[in-house]
Amino acid sequence: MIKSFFLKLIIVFLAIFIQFSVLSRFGIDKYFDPLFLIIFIWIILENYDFIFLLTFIGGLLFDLFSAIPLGSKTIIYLIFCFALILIRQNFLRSLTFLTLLGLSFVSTCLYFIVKNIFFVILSIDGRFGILILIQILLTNLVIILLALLFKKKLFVND
Amino acid sequence: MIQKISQKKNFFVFLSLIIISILIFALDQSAFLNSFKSFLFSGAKPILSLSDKNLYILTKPFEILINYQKNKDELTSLMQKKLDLTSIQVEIDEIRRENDFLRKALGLKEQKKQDFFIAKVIGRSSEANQSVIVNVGKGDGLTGSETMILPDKFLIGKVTDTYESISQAKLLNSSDFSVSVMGEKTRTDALCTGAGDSLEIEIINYQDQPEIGEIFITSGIDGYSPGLIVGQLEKIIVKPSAVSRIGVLKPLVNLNQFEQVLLLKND
Repeated sequence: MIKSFFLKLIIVFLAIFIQFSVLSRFGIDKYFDPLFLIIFIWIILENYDFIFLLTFIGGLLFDLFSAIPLGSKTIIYLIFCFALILIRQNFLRSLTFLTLLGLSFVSTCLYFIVKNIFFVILSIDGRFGILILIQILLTNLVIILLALLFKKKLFVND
Repeated sequence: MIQKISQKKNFFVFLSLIIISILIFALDQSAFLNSFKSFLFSGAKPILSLSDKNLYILTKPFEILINYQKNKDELTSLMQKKLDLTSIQVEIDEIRRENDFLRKALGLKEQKKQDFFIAKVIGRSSEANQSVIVNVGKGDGLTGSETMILPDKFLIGKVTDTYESISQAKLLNSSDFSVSVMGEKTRTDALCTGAGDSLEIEIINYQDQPEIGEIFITSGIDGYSPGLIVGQLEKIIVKPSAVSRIGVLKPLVNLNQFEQVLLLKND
């Protein structure tokens, strides 16, 4: 259990590291969020151990490195994580490629719209328009690619 | 039964963490958590420095490939500009010599030279507010009011938060960055603010007629050193209902790809 926690913690660190060192170098960190993807994958795989704690740590690290008030992105990540777990547990008992696509689209829309509204309210440069569309499309594209890659392991009914 | 207990436990954890996050958010508004942030940054600094050094080697070839055509065109135009500048340089040298001679003759004192720090970028973010993390902090003498520039006087941002060994700086294109600017040729006064990938200037005086392609520099009336290059005017948007005109400035440097910066101490 503890081993699994530390392994997941390393993955969270790696996601933050990729966000702020690799993606930011090419200017694509505003379009894509690796931590979002990791939380999404864990929830899809129903791997809920320490998920809130890891989301909290990841969110805090994100806030720390992006010059936004500490805790602001953490709250968004936690709410998103909770909402996604609720949907996964109550409405998506068996996972198929189509339900995954639906969940992916709904969650990315929810996450990026809520995040930008929250940032606008806090005056932290929330952005709408074409950017939000690129964010949603890019994240969905990565999820579809990953789903196709691990199709046999993921889906039972397909 | 076990599943219900587990769900209850998870909900309790979620609720506790949300409360902690809100508490952290509230405390952060009053700079109460600065020592905590400083501690976290101290731990992160070696990792960030190491990663940045290695990543530079790894990502440089891709950057060259992506920017090949752009760099080729830029090189051609720069070669032409270099030729033009050589003759200007000769004139400037001549004026400088004459200026020195006149200063000595009139007994004028040399202008006080500005103190600066050389800093290395060890982290960056453009997801929310465009910002960078640099490897100097309070321990090195930073006060938190420094202007961040590139060599050749290109303004790129300002330091917003300083911690013991690290500082955060907001970039020029961040939405909450503003600086008073003026046109280099027409002396048009305006207020420049960040707008994501570009910059916006608000021209209030209708008598001012800035030219497209004009370079805008800091005017120095709001604490920034005067004469720092901010950007080049791309277009002017005139809205019939608005009191002022909006100009779009293009930064002359790539705000995603710099490794070292100068931090000027503001008087």
